[in-house]
Amino acid sequence: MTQAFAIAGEINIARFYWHIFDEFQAAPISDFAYVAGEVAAGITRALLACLVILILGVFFGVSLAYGPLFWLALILNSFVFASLAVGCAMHVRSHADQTLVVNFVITPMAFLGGTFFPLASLPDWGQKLLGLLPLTHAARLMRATAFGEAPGAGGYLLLGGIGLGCFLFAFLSVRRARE
Amino acid sequence: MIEVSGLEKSFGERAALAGVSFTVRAGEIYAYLGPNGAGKTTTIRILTGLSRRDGGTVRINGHDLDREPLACKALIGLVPQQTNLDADLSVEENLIVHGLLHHMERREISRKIGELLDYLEMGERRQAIVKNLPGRFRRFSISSLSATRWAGMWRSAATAISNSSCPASWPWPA
Repeated sequence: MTQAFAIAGEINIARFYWHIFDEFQAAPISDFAYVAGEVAAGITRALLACLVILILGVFFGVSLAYGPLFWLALILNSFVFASLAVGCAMHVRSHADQTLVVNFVITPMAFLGGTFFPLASLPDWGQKLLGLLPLTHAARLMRATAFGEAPGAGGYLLLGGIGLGCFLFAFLSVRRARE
Repeated sequence: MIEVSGLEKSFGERAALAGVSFTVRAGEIYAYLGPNGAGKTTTIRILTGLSRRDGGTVRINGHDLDREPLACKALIGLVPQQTNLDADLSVEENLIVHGLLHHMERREISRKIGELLDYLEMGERRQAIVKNLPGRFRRFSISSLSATRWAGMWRSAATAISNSSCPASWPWPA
């Protein structure tokens, strides 16, 4: 999640400091192509970061199942947060604003999204509240598949739907950035 | 040919452009001058698709900017006011990215990069990382970026660079 979202910082640098974003907007490429490219970059970055952790895990003797469903959950989660990153990067007005989003949205989500503790230990209202976070569903899917369980399709569909929503948000935000 | 008619743009209450019209014919060199705040940058940003307009029409070589924005952009070479290079990439890598953005073939990109860097007397800087380039050479790179494509490349390159930073051996383009 954090690595996929980290492309927001790079997009901001490209917008505010290097002015490469203007170059992209002046080039004969569609907004869809731009968003797709940035999201693909975010997913790639996230997968590479995860790969490093998984390889380290192997050296430390961690033995988990990394089947196709595990990777699908990982890719969908990266898709959600890379798309969200592109959208957010179009709305912030400075690099400092971007840090606020990370501090108050992304970092708390990393701790509260069921990554470090099982949500079952929380009260009912807490579970429902944290169920609104996409990371909660991604963590549940990845944990289940890594332990060899087969989660239902619902979690994947939900994550994919949120991802498509975030992609649309990113696309509309890039169009709006021309104002 | 660039045809601009009745261009309008406001920022809040303030009108930056109020009915700007002009035509630039093919092969014509057109100087668009005015005092600070007159709307020169706003006009260029609209023509290049970086900003939206509130009114008026823009046609580039017969293509309507609203209906065929990509066709219009494919005909535009822009040297912006600010440095617009990826500082972590080399001169060559920046040019490759720019060529790909304009849908050039890789072989064509490589050939034109060679031609352009030779012309700019920057052949030995091809692999240099942009953030390590002296400021003077950054200007060359900016100019190069705008000029990797189509027949107008020499004109685009040379007119974008101030006389003070031109190598003495450069022929001024016809």
